[in-house]
Amino acid sequence: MTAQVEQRVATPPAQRRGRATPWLALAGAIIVVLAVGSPPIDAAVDRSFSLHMAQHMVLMNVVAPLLAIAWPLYFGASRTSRFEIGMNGLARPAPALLISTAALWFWHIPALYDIALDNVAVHLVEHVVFLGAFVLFWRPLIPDGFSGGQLRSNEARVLYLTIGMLAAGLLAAVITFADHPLYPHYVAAAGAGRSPLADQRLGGAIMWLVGAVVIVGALLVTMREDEEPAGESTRLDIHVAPDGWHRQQDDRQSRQHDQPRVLERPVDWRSAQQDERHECQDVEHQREEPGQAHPPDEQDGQDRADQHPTPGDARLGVAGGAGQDREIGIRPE
Amino acid sequence: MSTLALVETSPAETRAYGQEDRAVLRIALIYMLTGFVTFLAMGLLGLVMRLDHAGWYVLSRDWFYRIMTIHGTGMVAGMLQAAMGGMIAALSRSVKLRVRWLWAAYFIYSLSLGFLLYAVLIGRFAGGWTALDPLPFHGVTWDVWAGVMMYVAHFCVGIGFTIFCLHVFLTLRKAYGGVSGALAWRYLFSRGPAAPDLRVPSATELSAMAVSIVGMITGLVGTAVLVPLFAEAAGLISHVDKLYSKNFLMFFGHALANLTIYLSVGLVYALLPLYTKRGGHTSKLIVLAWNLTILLVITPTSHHLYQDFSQPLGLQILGQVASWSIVPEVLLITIIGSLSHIFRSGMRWTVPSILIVMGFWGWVFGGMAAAMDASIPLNNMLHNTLWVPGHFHTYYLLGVTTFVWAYLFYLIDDLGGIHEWATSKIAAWLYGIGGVGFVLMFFFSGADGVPRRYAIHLAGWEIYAEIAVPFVLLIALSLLWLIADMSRGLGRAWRRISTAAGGQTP
Repeated sequence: MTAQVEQRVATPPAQRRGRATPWLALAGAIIVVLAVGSPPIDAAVDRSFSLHMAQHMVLMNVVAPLLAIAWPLYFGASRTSRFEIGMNGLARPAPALLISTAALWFWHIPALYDIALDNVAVHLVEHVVFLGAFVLFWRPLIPDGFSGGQLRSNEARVLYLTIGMLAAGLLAAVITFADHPLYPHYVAAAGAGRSPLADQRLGGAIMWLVGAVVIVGALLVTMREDEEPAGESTRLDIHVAPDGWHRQQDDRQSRQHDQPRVLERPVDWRSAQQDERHECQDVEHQREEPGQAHPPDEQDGQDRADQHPTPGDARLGVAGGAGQDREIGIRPE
Repeated sequence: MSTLALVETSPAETRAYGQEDRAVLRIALIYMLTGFVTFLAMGLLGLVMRLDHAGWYVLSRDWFYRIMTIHGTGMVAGMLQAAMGGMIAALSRSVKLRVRWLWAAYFIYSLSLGFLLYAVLIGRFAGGWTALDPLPFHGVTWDVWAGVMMYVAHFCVGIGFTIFCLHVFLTLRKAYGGVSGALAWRYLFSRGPAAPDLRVPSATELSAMAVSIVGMITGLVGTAVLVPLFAEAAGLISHVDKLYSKNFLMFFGHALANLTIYLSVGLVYALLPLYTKRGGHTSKLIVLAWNLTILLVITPTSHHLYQDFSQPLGLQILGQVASWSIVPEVLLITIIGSLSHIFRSGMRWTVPSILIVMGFWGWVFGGMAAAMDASIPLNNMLHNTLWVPGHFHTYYLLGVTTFVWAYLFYLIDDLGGIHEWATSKIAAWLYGIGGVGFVLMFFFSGADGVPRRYAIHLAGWEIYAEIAVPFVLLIALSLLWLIADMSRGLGRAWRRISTAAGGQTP
């Protein structure tokens, strides 16, 4: 068995798939580019603004994300090259958003757009700029760890995609709602059987709606659940005594750490009545150490602690724990 | 003396917000704060319209109707979003919700705001909810694409809300071992008290389950009308039947607005036991009421179509009967039940508890006005007057918003701590006084026959708006005070739920 084969056998399948992904993405991008840039489509695009918008949508929302996945193939091998460091710097969220938005708006300025349509080389540059800019746009959403600018929280991803979508949507709205044809080239071409204005509005709507659908898809794909133990039930195990004492930690947590279950008076704890607590202190229980009972973030405000009793003040430990399936609470009698 | 004792699960109770809730609580707060900001912005636009009616700040007709479109659509969508956030937080104490789906729903839902603003501000759409031909696709000041984009905004609301409802539905169904368990049918149809091994959902969970079922139906109805309208706009079909489109759109809008109320009432069930110290209890009456709600939210929709002569008579009668059928359910079970829960409980008067009680007032009087308007003889007189905005502003401003802001205030207080000054309580009462004065002017205007959806008011009608404006300013003042209170606790609350455990820290 050769060393390569040995290595392959030793590598888990998931890891092998991970290595193949950039190559597959690159191959997919090349195939799609060849398809949407083929002569028949290019000829049709020359006559119809809406088809041209559809072509741009494919480049920006299909090819660009694929190239963003393939990023490690061309920028991830070495982290010492200044060029690579610079490119990875551009792929951070703020510059990526700025560059992609600027590129989108810049090339839709009517004069520039018409120049691109009349000159093949400029048209090619336009598409390359679009591709480059939107590879940067998608890059912060690809969690492969090759560049430092990846968005790490769901909130950040939502904010990023929202801003990106609003910026593109604003341009699409301007095109859709324009009351006259913006691009003289298409007035002369008068293609696709529609009036130039109707064709332009359709193009704007394609840009708007397809963009929104793609962004929603991206959001669904990139959202992350919080880490949690496998096999947990949907319903949290809540066991509450009738007098209102609740358990703070659910069963799985207690079972994992083989700790006694902890009861807490969680709600409206600031008004926890002293007499109730005194009564419950008579219960056979083990009181937690103050340092264990308080999560660090609950100790942040001295002023708060001064005003109200803290949750820890009203917290009680109860015997129980690993393997115990019965529901246990404390009930004053 | 107290001893350790075995106790059974008390279904009406919940646990504290725990470590594992943090990611869910973050998104719940984001939902609620987005809704709150939307509410404030839409309220400002409402003030501008009332200033116009008073003749103190004159808008062009074009801008009046554009603002009215944003105000109406944005307010319903914003309040629904805030109520969804509250429900997420409330449910997170008893079931495990999935962050991915909540974010997806939030994002799709929020897309609607972008479509709405662009359609109105750039596309000059000003048609509001109107679906009749030649609206919304053939307005005087806007073209077909503005109408399409407006409906895409509605579509996003529908899809986002449906995802939320589907997720809540599936989660509760799984938690209680099926739909019948989540709707407490075994408990409802059993004799005597619940069997010890029977898990009965809390009233909050029941409300969430009922809302989710109607919400999914609403999403389907929205799709059934909006997709054909898109196809009509694209020229794929010649036309959509106008009565069909109006009925379905009215169902869609009416159900969304009503579900906002029922979601917010679910929050009241979560809050009241905390302030009355009496503990929650899911009685059979409550179970019955929430099961009936599923039917009673759906059936009264046709009361919007009394003025359509082509509407079948049966639907008109159904509209009236169903509208009146809600009254005993809401009044006898929810409101009187809740008030009896409060009675002699020694409840502390805090901002949330004041807002809750105020919300009952708004719900009762908004509902009474709605029931009157849903009576065919009265509807003939009141339907196109400012009486109608009077009833839904009472519902919203003094019902839904007070319930939802009560929960938001409580949530921030619970997570971050809010020092409640004596003036905070005064601010809460001022909100109610401002709200009452504001909505009363709508009712008086309506009784006086002042038409609704009119940009320009006759000089004789301006007095109502002139009286209303100071009350709106009172609402704004009280809200500013409450915002100042909440903002101090919000930072602490956010930090608390953003730290390590349970958070998204890849």
